[in-house]
Amino acid sequence: MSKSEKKIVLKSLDNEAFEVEKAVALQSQTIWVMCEDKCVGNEIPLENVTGQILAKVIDYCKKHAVVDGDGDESSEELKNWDTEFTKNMDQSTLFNMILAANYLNIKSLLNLTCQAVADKTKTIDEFHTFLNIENNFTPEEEAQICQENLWAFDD
Amino acid sequence: MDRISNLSDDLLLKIVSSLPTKDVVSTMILLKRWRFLWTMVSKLYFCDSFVLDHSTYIRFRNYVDRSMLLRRGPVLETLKFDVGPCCNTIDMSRWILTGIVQDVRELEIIHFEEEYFEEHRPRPIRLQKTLYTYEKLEVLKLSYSILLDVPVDVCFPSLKTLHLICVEYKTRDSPMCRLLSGCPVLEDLYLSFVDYYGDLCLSENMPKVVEANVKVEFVYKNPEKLLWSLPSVKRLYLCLSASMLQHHIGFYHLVHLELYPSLQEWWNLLTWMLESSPKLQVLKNCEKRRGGEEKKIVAYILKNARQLKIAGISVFKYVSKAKRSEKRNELVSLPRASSSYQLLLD
Repeated sequence: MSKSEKKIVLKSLDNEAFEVEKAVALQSQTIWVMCEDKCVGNEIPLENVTGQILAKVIDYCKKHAVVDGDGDESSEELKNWDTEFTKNMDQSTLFNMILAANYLNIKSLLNLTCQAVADKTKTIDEFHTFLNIENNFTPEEEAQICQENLWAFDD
Repeated sequence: MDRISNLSDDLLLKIVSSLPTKDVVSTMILLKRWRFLWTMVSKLYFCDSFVLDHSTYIRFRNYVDRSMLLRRGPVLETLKFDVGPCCNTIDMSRWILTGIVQDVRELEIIHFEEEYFEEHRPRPIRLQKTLYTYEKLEVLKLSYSILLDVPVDVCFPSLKTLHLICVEYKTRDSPMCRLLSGCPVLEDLYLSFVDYYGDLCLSENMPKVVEANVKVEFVYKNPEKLLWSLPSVKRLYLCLSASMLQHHIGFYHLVHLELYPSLQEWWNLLTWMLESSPKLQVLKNCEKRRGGEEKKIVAYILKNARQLKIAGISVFKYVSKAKRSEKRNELVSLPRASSSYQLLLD
């Protein structure tokens, strides 16, 4: 394989281009399928992911590509890296990471980011804030739902 | 627009999957589009917040019963309970049975009983017999006040992970031994309890176990048999308080070892483990020894370890910078058996 075939270019929604090793990019099942089908050239447009998020996804994939090949002795180090990786992400970044991991189909990253949401939102109100949930019932409707589902709301 | 509107049903279920079931239900029931989506969850996680008041517990019990009844997703991956002293064997048996009917793969029970009232007599949860022959279970994690009443026909043909933390067992006819023998494909074993009856003398091999965390106290007889039965283990966390040194066991696949040597012969245990583990790459000595001894340990390791890749040695306990760098230089200059590994000092 020539050097150029080992590399692949990922292009974000806002036209930012990232050149990465193929082994790094192929952790995404979505990209893997695209490459298998030969439906794309060496440049893959990712229309749902911004450059800012894609850069983070690539960081994650790079870390995991290297360590996975190295055997299982560094799994603890990898876990610590994962914790640090999501620790300081703000809510909107975390949310966009979930969407990106889902779109690119990277299972381990999706698990990691979903777990981070559960860890960061200690109360149900915080979780509602995270999802930006607007209650679309009137107070009367809500009272009625609570009444009908007493078993679920009873504290 | 609220963020949630961007999400597919699957993705929303995935995001809520790590939350307690109660939060999942009360969130979704208030969203028009997702009112019934919670019934498709693949994980159920119930926590009774350790209530001591019986009437509050009854409400928790009704809640668990109803939500388990309404769940209708294709696979129940995980069923987890985190319960306090009010929870009892009858309730737990019913919930476990409901889980089995829904093909549960992973069962975790934490039953914590602290003696809050003088008159409170601990009543461990007794697991029902049906569970011990449930062939689809892949993960079983039991912690604290749970009584293992292992029947003779115990059989977990799919069980890959078994964690037992401070569980109880009463009979003297080797229930632990029987339980472990009933798990032919076990890969991950975590044991942490007091072995009053010397029951961990296994007769059968567990050739597939690659990760074992063994923290057993008061092993009276033949403790080495437990280690004999783990010939393929790759990651081992050891904390044993009885001597196992008469029997030299080879850990031919061991790559990661953490020692918590709380015993007198810690030095012998360390050297024995190093000698018997030709593939060892990571070694952690987790107990702080008094001053002066670390140099002996480091000198020994460096002199004898041929396959060691990383040796991390922490000298942070020396407060002054000068003292620390002096220690560092002292350690770096020791003779080494292998020149290819990294010596990490912090």
